[in-house]
Amino acid sequence: MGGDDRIVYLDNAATSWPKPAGVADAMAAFLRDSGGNPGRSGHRLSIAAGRVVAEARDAVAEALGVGDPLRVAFAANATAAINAALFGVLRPGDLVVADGMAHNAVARPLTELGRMGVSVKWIRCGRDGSIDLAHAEKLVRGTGGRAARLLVVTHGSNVCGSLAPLGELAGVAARHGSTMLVDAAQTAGIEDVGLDSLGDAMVAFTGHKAMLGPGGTGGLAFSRDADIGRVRPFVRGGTGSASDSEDQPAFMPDRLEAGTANGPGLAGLAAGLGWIAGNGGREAIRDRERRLTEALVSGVAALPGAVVYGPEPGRPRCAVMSFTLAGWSCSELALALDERYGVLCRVGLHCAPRAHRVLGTFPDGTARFAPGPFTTEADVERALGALAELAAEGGRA
Amino acid sequence: MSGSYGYVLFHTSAAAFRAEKAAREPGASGNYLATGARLVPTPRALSSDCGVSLRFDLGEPGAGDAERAMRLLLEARGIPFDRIAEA
Repeated sequence: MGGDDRIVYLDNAATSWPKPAGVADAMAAFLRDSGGNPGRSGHRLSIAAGRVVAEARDAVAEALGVGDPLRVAFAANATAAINAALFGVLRPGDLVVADGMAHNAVARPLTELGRMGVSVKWIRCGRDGSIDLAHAEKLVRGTGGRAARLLVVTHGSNVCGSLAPLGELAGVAARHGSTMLVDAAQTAGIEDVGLDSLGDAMVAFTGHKAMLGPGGTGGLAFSRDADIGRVRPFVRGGTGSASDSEDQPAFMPDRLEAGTANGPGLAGLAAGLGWIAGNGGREAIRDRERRLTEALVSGVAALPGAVVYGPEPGRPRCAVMSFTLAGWSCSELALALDERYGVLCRVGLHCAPRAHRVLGTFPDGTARFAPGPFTTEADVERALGALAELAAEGGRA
Repeated sequence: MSGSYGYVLFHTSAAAFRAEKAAREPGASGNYLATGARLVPTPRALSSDCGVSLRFDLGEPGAGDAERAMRLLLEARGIPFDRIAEA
């Protein structure tokens, strides 16, 4: 796997590492053996490249629970997909409702849309990151007969690991004729999304986290009940189809896939998802990561001066946990963990200031541990041992 | 060789690649299609949104209805296509 055994990598929420060996191999093979432009030309290299992209599309559709792979549109990352959905659907005068655990990938586009005349409302969340469903219902219902056009949901918090109840929120959206947009950056590939069961819904996903692919991959997927025609293309350009027209094609996925696809990246993404399928499947990997996360939660909580934020033990969560340690600023803590113990994590606000306000950790932030499929129990013990020593030192705030 | 091939025309190459995979699955596409189905540049005589089409062997007269088998396969898999033509 190329991992350095002096390193304990607990930053899988930023990007998964190491990748399965097959990911780099597939990317190299794409460049070496099938490097044509997928879906553009009719020659053997273009067709070979197109088959690789199709394989990635099939694998993503399976991972997200969408029956028709053509309802998956690839994009550069989850952020690009979220922007495509928000700017594609919302118009001045529309109401959009989002939850308080939102990442800046949601909050920043919504701030801009607010300036453009879209009404933006935020759902209250508990100190454990849980969404206040009654408040969600009230906001989505709207006022004066104007319900929300979009309900934007953070599936898994990238700060504290709280998991949103997608089924219940889909019910809220359905009762008021709203479309749900799920930011599944932290969860797609490992947690159940069940997109086709969510009614009128879209999911933004990234390829480089739980799907174990490389950076530069991600996209937007639509449930079977979603009206794709409501999403005005955010980026327009060549698709290799309907080339006699200067209008963007209406059909999927070309409607939302202008420009050359990231062939090497999608080859790596297909390999990452293939590795998951071949190593027990996502449920087995998810359950193992959850056990490691719970071990980190209970181990850190037992340290003097430590505070763990987010769901209580046993509550639904993804493989992310956040904490602070008395006497240590986050940045000094991260530096000591890296330089003295080889424990790598991410500290600060994690591009989610709104979520930190919910947790009561704004503006100082937290330290975040996020195990992945290659994290071992020994890694967890080493990280906890390092923290115990640092806690005993009393720190340098 | 005019008339010896059928072409499935698509709007998007994403559908063409799904169709190729389905047609090549052993046993999935019937005896007519299991060999010879491949993606090729769409013939100039056939207008299409998509630059590639799925070409398949129509077989000898009386050997069976390959076009019908292809149509049933695509419909069973929910793969959208524009039309099926001969060239």
